Amino acid sequence: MYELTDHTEVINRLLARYGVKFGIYKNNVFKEQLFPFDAIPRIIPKEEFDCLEKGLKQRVDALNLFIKDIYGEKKILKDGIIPEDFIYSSPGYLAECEGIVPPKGIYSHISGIDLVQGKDKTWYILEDNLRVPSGASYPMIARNLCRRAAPAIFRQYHVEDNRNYADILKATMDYSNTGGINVILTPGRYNAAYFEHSYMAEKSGAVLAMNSDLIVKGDSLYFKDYRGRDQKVGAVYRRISDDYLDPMTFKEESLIGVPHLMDVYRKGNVAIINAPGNGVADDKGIYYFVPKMIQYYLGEEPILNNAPTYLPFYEEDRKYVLENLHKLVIKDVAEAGGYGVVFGDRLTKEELERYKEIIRKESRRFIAQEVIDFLDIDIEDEGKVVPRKADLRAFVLSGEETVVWKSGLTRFSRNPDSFVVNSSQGGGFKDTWVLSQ
Amino acid sequence: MKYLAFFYETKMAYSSQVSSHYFSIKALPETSIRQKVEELHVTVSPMEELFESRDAFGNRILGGHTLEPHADFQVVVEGKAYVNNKREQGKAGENLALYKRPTSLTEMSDEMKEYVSDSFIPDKMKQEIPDYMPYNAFGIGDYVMKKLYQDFSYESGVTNIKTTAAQAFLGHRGVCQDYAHIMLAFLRFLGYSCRYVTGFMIGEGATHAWIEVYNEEDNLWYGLDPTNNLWIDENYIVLARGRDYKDCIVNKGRFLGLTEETQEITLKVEEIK
Amino acid sequence: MGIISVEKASNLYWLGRYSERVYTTLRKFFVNYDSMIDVEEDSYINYCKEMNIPNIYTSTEDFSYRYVYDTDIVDSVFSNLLRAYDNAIIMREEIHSETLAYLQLAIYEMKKAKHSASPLIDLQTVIDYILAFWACADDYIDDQDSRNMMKSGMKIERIDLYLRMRYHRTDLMRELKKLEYRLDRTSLVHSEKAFIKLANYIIPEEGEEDTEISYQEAIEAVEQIVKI
Repeated sequence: MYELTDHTEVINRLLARYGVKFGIYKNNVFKEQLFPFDAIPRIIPKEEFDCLEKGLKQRVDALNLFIKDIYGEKKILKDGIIPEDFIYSSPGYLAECEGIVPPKGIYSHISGIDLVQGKDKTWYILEDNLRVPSGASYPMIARNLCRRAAPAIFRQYHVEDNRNYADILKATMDYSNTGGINVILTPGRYNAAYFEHSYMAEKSGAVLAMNSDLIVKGDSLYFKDYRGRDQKVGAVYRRISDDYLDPMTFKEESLIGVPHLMDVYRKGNVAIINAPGNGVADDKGIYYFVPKMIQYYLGEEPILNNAPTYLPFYEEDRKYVLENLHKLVIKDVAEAGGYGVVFGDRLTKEELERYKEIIRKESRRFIAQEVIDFLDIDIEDEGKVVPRKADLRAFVLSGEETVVWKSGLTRFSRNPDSFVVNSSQGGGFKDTWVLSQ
Repeated sequence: MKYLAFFYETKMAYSSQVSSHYFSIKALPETSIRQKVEELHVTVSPMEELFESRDAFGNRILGGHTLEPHADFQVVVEGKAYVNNKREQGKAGENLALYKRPTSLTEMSDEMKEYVSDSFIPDKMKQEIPDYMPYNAFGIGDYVMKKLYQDFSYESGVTNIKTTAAQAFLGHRGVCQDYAHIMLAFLRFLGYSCRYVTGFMIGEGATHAWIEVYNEEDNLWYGLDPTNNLWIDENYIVLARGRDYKDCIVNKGRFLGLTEETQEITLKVEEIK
Repeated sequence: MGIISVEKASNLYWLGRYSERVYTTLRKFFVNYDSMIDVEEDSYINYCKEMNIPNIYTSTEDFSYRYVYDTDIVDSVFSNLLRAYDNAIIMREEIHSETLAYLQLAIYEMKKAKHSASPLIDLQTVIDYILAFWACADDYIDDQDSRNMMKSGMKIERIDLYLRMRYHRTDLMRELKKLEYRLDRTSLVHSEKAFIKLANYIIPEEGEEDTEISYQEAIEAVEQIVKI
């Protein structure tokens, strides 16, 4: 597969042709740039992926049961598995969603689970993204273009086709759909993931909608057709965050939301993909409890490991964290996208003390993790092959069944000293090949 | 038991036309163990779409929109209600933990914490709470209310709808919303589940706000009105409940248009004899 | 799809107008450029007047460069191309990625031409891509009404520009027929009255074939046909 690097130029030209971009805001100015692509794919052998697949399904099933429990009976709290405080102080918990049972009882339809592989080949879960995880479109289109650029290579390897993502997405939307069309709700052209919104709409047959295209009438949501034939909407794959989803329920000043969407949703007349309020389950503080959820809801042992994590909230953990801060990673639970991540070994003495002070004061705000010895993967850098840090975002879709997409978004850091791979921080992406034999 | 007639009207006037106006009205009193609502009549104008729904706290919502440009907006709610002195029972599945936590509007400041530790000392309260009152959420709620009523003065215009409990506490002044927020903050800090309530009160010219505190012993919500130092009785009609003001906004709206808005509220609650 | 919102109807219409504007102004630019080779003339001053765009240019060279490439100038050809793209990208699922790619490629070519030693050759490629874009749109847009909305935009823009460029009656009559054909087939709200008014300016009375068209009045009429 290193042969693909011979085609880097052609592939990049094709990526540019199709405008495979993502947007970033720098000093408040919106800029769209091509998402740097590295031609060398990450390869996951069949047996390894089979194991990942089982573990990911298990994890997402447990997470879905957890969210259902939290906005319903709250058994896990009553049984003392998770302290109440962790739920109610989580910014992702939304009291406004109490008592809502979404169509088919599914909360996280599209879960983006971030993993890393250690030097010992063990996969570790880094974080769960259950709100609006993005990125599937990139490997999907990259595969298409790589096959076009170098068909011979694909004849040699037996790679699972990943271009079915939109079909799985459509099936997922259809399953929860309450009757009507599927729409993808985008905040608009100047969103970081706009390429993905429009590409997914095209490929899944959903209608791409801005909030002004949608209106609530009576107990239903409609897409306003120019010719006056309003179309009932049965599922909204929304690509805007909870806070902005419905100005009548959440932030009143939201100009990108759909007023009264939550009313229709509460009545069970539309599916929102993913469900609002999911943030309670992908909070970095809740991450610690996911293995416990798997045991609690499924009665199974977790197949996949969390990275070793400490909660300063617990005294024992706090003691360990304060003593070993210099070799741990500290994460602010409220931040996302690679922000709010601090490596203890990069801090000066004063900074370390300052962090210790904050951790003592706001113990609920942080988690600390052991630094995983990453298995570096190869990238092409100015014609040379060099090892770099990378993660994998696996996509798990929950419809009639829970399905793990046989690919994923591999993101790498260009900077040899950096562990942060987010596109908003200047990283690139690779295709992920899952071998079929 | 009292038989009350109520007439509530809110009139919004915009200095220039507004459009794409969406609204949620939480001003529909509902029949419960303490109030039986009759002949409820609601008009919203101008209005193109109207529907009913409910929020996460069980409140009735009248939602809808007026997309065409308009320069005024009017809501009228009128009806009659038999009201008694009974207290609302705790419901199965009610999220009491939620009502025990501070919200952004009811966060305790250092000054408030100091006030609480000086004023609400358990031993002292035990001594001072009169014999006819129980030493529980109700008794302590009543004690806190009396203290608040004593130390604070009612004054309109010094606070607004966005004022937090901590801000209002600094001046020791405010309106019913501020009294309610401060009292919620205190009771939650003391470990009790309590909620914000909006409604109509006989003799008042606008919607009123008070609180309810949950008493575990008898599974009842006790209504207390700190602004007037009164227990909630047959003179009050409940409209909505929530964690704080934000969950109970009587008329929430969003529209397009740069405009100055003026609001005129009329409320008449009278006893029918 | 067959489901088009008010917003998207507007996008399709303006996509038609802006893509046509880039195409026709570039072709006109070629003609102008050619004549400027032989004589140093200030034809651009007249051009600005005709097109009703502010003459902010200092010389023929300045005009040749900035009018085409400067994205800070709202009327520049490049700005119009970007606006076509802005309208197209939100229509991806309607017009398809394959179609959108040609506008993307036109933008890359435009950037290349800006720094090219032989810009006219690269600009020719921009024109080629616009033509490919239209052909692709024809092939990929399943919904007939969507196609007609875009094409109504194209035809209106063309007549508008031809009027501004003082084209001859016969050219305008040909384009008017094409516009009529599209308007008859679209659900786009349009003013029949404005169209008849325009037709009356363009189609001559018997014996008046050689009189000049009232260009200014006709431009006003064409702008009244579709308001979206």
